[in-house]
Amino acid sequence: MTYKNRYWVGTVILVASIGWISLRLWFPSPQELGYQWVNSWGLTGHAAGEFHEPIGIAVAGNEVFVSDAGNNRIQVFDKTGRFLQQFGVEGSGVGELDRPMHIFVRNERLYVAEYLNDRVQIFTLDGESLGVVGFSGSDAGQFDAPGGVAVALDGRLYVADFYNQRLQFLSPGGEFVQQVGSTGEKGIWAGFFNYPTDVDLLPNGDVVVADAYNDRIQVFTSEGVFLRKWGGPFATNIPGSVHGWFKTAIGVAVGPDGNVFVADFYNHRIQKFTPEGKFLVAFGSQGNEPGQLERPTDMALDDEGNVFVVDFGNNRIQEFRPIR
Amino acid sequence: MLRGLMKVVVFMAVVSLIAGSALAQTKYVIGVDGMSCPFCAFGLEKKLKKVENVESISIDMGKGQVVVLAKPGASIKEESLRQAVKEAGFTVSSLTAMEMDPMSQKSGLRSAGDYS
Repeated sequence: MTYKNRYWVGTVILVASIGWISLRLWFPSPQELGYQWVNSWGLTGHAAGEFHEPIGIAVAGNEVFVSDAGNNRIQVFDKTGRFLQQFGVEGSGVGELDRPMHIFVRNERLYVAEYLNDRVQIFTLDGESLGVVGFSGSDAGQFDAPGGVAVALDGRLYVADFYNQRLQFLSPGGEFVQQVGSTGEKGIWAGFFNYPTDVDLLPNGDVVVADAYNDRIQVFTSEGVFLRKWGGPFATNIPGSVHGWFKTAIGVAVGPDGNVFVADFYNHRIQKFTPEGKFLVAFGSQGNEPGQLERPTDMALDDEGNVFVVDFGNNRIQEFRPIR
Repeated sequence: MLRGLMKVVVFMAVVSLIAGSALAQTKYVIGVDGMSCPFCAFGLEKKLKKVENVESISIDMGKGQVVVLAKPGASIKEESLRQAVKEAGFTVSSLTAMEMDPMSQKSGLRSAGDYS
């Protein structure tokens, strides 16, 4: 073989290898059987059991908490969808809510990110307000439309600070500790955000952020050190509908086995990944039939791995069970 | 006596007219494209709430329409509304102001944050 021929053969092999690796990396196949629809509940409206733009969800024991943002309240159901109670009315006082977004339960406490009150409010699971953290602004410890909150075992808070383009780390008392992201500055590189909407924690304490309009997930240590990101090629704000890509990753939830679930808003589906970001499976398609989704915003899992999804566009909650 | 009665009637008619115009409210209907995400829509609501003389806001994401109600007897600078929409990351496709009939104000009005 001449030198020239060897050169071309080598080039072809190299290009084919890169293509094959890219295909495996950016066009992954499902690794699990998937999820099947179990139950749905909710109608559009303002009465008990009805929703008006629901956003966030959390499961604690046998109770399902839903932030009913358009109605400025939290509704509580059992896992069959039976209404139990509600609390919150529109306002800025203690116990009042103004656009409650993503929520989080830790140590028998419900944490609610309030988008228009620029704060996180803490409730008992019976709906008694225990106070608020934060206020309006862009300085340390201040918020501009917080979209989501997560709380570590030791009580530290992590807040997705939407218009401030950052993730804030606060002490259990609400004092500012540090932030990831440059305040008010969007970016596609690691550690920058483009409207972060939600946050959750892996079993080892690492912080998972729904970097919504960068169409990706970012993961940091509990000290704010960047670990990894995923969502499309190099996770650099390239939206798409193939497996592992996103069109606005608007909600994130970590399951009981540490896997990461993402509400893929404009793809009308839920995607599941390992904690390292390897795609496992996706479920849901656009529509209003049972099992279909219309712009889902969040999900939460119970101890058995059942997934409760906020089907925002259909004003309902849907439950899915893993196919085994 | 008839003259006295006439005076009372005229007086009450004048009072009603004044009271009616004092309670008159202006409604601004704004066309905004691209509001399919709640974070975006609520963000727009946040900006509009800060505009002077805004009493209530109603957003219909499906129709791409925002209805802003001014405080009774007050008006809102349309440029302020446009600026608020721009700061929220959207553009105004249309903006119409209309006086609400005081007698029909209670029907069809919704408090801030109610969505159709």
